[in-house]
Amino acid sequence: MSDLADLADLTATELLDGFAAGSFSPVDAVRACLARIEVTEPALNAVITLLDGPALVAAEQSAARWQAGTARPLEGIPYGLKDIIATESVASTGGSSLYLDNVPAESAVHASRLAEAGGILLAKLGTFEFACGGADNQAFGRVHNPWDLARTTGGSSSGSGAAVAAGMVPLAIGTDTGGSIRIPAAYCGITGIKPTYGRVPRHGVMGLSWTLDHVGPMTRSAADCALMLGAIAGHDPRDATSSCRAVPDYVGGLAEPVAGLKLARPRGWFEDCFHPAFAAVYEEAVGSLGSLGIEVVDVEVPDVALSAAAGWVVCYAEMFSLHEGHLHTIEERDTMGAGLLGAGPFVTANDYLRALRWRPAFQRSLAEALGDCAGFVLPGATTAPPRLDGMSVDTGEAMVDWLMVATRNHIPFNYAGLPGLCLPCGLADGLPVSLQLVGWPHDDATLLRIGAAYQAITEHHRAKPPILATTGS
Amino acid sequence: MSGAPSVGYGEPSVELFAQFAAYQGITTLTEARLALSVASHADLRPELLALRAKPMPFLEPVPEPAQALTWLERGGDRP
Repeated sequence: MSDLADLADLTATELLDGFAAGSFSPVDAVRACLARIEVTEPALNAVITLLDGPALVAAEQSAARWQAGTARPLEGIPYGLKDIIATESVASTGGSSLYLDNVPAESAVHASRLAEAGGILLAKLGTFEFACGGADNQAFGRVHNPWDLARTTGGSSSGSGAAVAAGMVPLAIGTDTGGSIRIPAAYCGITGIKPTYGRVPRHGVMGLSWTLDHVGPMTRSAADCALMLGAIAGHDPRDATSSCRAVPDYVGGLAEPVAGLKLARPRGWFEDCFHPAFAAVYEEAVGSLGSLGIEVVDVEVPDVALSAAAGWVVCYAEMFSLHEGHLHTIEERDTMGAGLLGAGPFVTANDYLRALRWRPAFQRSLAEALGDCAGFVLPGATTAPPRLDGMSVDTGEAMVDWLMVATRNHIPFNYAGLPGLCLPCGLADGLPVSLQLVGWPHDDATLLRIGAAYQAITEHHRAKPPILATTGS
Repeated sequence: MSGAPSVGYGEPSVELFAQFAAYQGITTLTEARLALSVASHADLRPELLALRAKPMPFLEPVPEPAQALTWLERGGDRP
């Protein structure tokens, strides 16, 4: 395990085991990630700010803690933050030219909690401008997908997806308003969870839509998601919407059995627009859940299309409110964000309020569809990631604009607030295919448990993107 | 119960969108941006009209968004 390149491929859980055994140190791990960044960043463009100096200092301190027996839960683990998350004394740009010089005086709650847990911030990572601007970022350029450099990582947590997939960091934080953790997780072949609304506070995050915004882990295994979620979850008085519920032992919960659980499979809306090659891999993945003793039953979820529309109405209205100060420069914003912002003026107050009033009815519909099931199983993405030139996806029947296809399996659960976990489940045409589990509110632990059980019998989460071969990593 | 009527919504025009934007202080939208905005609205319009037609209670208190948030905090009233 002395090969630095190998260390960059380990999960955080495996790194912690190695630190504990004295096989290598946090300094080795940070150097391995820096070496990986050096060879892959020119092709990927995932990093906005590299914090190599402070990270190496912190790694020395972590190494001392391991030797002294005072290691904390994430001691010495390098991680990255989407650059809409505030970091004290470090530029937090929002991926925008408007905030190039924004250096917060206080860190976001996640950055503070990860540091208190012993994590080492290695890089601020690329993002769509203000988490909505699109893949073409005027300020920082495009982030490229490690599986095919001509394709997008998806977004808006674009840098987090690429960085984790390429081994730049084992852990990253993303945010998710309509799929922005789960879409790049699906497109990049990594594991990402949008926790239950309120599970992770949002203090210090540039908002897009306060009803829909979530913060969560993007990693290379469900076990690492559990590890990271445990570090960032829990009430923070600076975010009144954050939950006061106790934080479960997510890592300890992974050992609980999954046999006997039932998952609900809603076809229809969620399996429309499904490219046949991706559908075939997904079908095989759903079938393999049976070998874990999990029963999959078909269910109907009514009014999903309305929930997606209601979600967009809420997003347009709240985004318009949050970005009031940027409206006079709307045509200078990145294309997709300007388009979304441009739709804001036409959402009436009544439509916005109606969308909020209908939300409990949709929540009840989801609960009724779930019944005695532990969660839903559905595709994380129904197509390959679009090419950066054009941003259209191939559904097998037509080439269509990517955004509404990519978000359709995600925004209903931002709107309802349910947790969603995306797991890689194979390759189609050499590109990742993803399976999504959606659970009951505040039962994120069950999703992680099923995810870990699935990854114990499969190797899809260990597949390496081609860029690691071409860079000799 | 109140519900929106099933008929009577006119199709908004580009000009109407421009007026809406200007009313809210946005005078910098290009023609292309306005056209995209109208198109994005048109894409959502069938579902938006269906949403407007959903019956909503008139004689009961409206606790939103508290009701949705407390449902989440209760774990979704899982059976």
